Amino acid sequence: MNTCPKCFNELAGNQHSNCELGDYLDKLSSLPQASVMLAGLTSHGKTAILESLLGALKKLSGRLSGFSINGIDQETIEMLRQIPADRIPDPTDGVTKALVNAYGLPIPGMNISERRHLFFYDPAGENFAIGRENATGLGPMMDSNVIWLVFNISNFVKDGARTQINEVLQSLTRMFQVEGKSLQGKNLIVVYTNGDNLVDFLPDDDKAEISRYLFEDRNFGQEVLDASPSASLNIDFGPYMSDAEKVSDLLERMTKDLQGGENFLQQARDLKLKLRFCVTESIGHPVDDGQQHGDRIPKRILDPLWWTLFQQRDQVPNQTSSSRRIVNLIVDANQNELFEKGWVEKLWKTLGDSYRTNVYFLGRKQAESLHPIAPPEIGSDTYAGLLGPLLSAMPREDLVVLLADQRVPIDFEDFRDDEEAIARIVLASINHELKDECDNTVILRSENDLPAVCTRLKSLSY
Amino acid sequence: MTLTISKIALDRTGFPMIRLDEFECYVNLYPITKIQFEYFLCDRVASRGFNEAWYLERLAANQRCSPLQVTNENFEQAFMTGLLPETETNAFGKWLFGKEFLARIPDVHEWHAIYTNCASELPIPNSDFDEVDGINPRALDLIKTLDARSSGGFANKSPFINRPQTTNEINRMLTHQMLLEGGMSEWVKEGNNWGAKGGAIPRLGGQHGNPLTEGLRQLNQHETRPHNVGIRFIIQAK
Repeated sequence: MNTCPKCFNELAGNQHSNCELGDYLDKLSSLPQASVMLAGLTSHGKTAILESLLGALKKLSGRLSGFSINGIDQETIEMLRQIPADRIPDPTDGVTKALVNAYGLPIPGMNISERRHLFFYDPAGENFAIGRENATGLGPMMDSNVIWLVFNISNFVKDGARTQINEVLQSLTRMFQVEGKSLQGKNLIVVYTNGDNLVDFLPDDDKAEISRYLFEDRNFGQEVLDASPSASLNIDFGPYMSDAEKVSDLLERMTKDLQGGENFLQQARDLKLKLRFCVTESIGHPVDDGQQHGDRIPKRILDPLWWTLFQQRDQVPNQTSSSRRIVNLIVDANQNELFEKGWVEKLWKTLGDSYRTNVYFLGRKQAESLHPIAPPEIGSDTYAGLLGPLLSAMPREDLVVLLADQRVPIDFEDFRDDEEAIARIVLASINHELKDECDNTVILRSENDLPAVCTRLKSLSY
Repeated sequence: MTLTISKIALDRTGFPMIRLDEFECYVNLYPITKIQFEYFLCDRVASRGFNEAWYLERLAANQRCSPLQVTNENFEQAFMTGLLPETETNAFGKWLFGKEFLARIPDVHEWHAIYTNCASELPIPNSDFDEVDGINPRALDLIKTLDARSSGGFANKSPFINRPQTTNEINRMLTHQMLLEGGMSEWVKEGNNWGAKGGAIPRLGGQHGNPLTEGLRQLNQHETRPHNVGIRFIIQAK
């Protein structure tokens, strides 16, 4: 079959390159986008995930301030119109795709919402069957930013584990090789679907954790999305992604115990894949003979998308707002005066005029939500004022502004002594006594001094 | 039987561990550093109960030193001391090595065996560490400054072990590199008692005795948090 390499639509007999939609997508390629290739065997739930995900995005449109979606092509417009889907999708023939224009999409790990094109490519599962790798023709979609490797763990067990988890990755690797491409270093998200049944395969300690995660989603759970009247959502992605990360770690441990699991993880390490794990439930109730009984009650269905966007923040952006350099503003959350006098918010806004700016707190390792800008609720406990673990979680090309009051971080000397590390850090302090802590110090006496932080950032040779 | 260094592994903070083939286990290259412990402190679920005030108390007893500032006179400041040997070290060990591994403080016999084996092995070249993918840059800094420290004449030839002579680094053996000798004392267990072992330098309470024959330095685990005693783990797959 002759298909368009951009949109995978079937081409008319006299066409040999892009079709009209393909040409249009080509023009969009200069705009910020997230493209996803769904990989996995037949009947593991790739299309069901896609449908339920679109359904959740559609519901989110009315609830998340500034957020809306529309379909770019007729196929997606039709798919969105038919959602919520009332039946289990038939096995995909060819490529199911969803091309979505999202406005005001929150980007986890960054304090921005922005327009993004979301491209989802869902090829037939038979492409990933062992021994079928040579007949793909899926080359262009292998350039997607992220691959979702979709597994229904019940299917593996039902099959008597005839197909092991590592074999699917081997098959995917060979598909890439056949197309002259490499999986090396790719973002790969392992999506365990049929989450309601997944808990049966977990050790007792982890069962409760995953059940709680699936059933208690106060941000994007079905009860929230279906609430009437619709309440405006204010999502704090810091704790959300922190929870998702714990679940990812737990699922990675579970994967190791699956047949072929250790080999799978070893292959992923060998390929230097940027690996994350998540668990979703697309349907929400048992399926008999391929029949769906009642409305879908998906759970954590947006997690693969949040991870996709989160992983993309590590990539060097190339256009418009995404082309701005990333600055990570790090604040000592134990120093209340920085918040009370509004320095965090003022500096964040100043930096935001020139840079894509994230806010982090010392002693934690994830970007914080900014609504409102406030120190984390830490009760009587305190976070250790440590910079090292946080810096090691950030891409090395990111610039860093450290906002301090009475003191620098406990481990600041490690980086002050390291020429390469200090070359990307500006210390902004409201305390004059810190002026000699490092060469890149800017003392903030009044708001007039804030632009000097940007000037100093621009002067960094890093 | 001599020790064969076949593999350098990394813990979750990117600090090296050395595989001891004879025991089918790994040991930390150095006693646990403050840097490693600081990663633990930033995991607020695992380190509940170890807040900043607690850490500042430990630093008051043994202040912190940046890897690039390590010298003969202050090297112990790079290492985490003042931990209670069961409760606190266990919590940290579980976090550092995960559920798949059993991490424990060696007993006195294990410590002697590690020491004896390492005493007849040459140090691992720094270039071997440079090539380890994912190693923490601050670990590399520490390896280099500690290497400069012990290569600079600090390490005396031990009278306790027969060693091969080398032309370039006379007397400097793996025990020195790992600070099993000429370093600081470490927690070890003997029966139900905890004490300190190690060829510690006198400034840190060590004696010029034979670490293989001299007894355990007794310490009271409940009442003292000795500021000059570090920890090192033996790690085995479960």
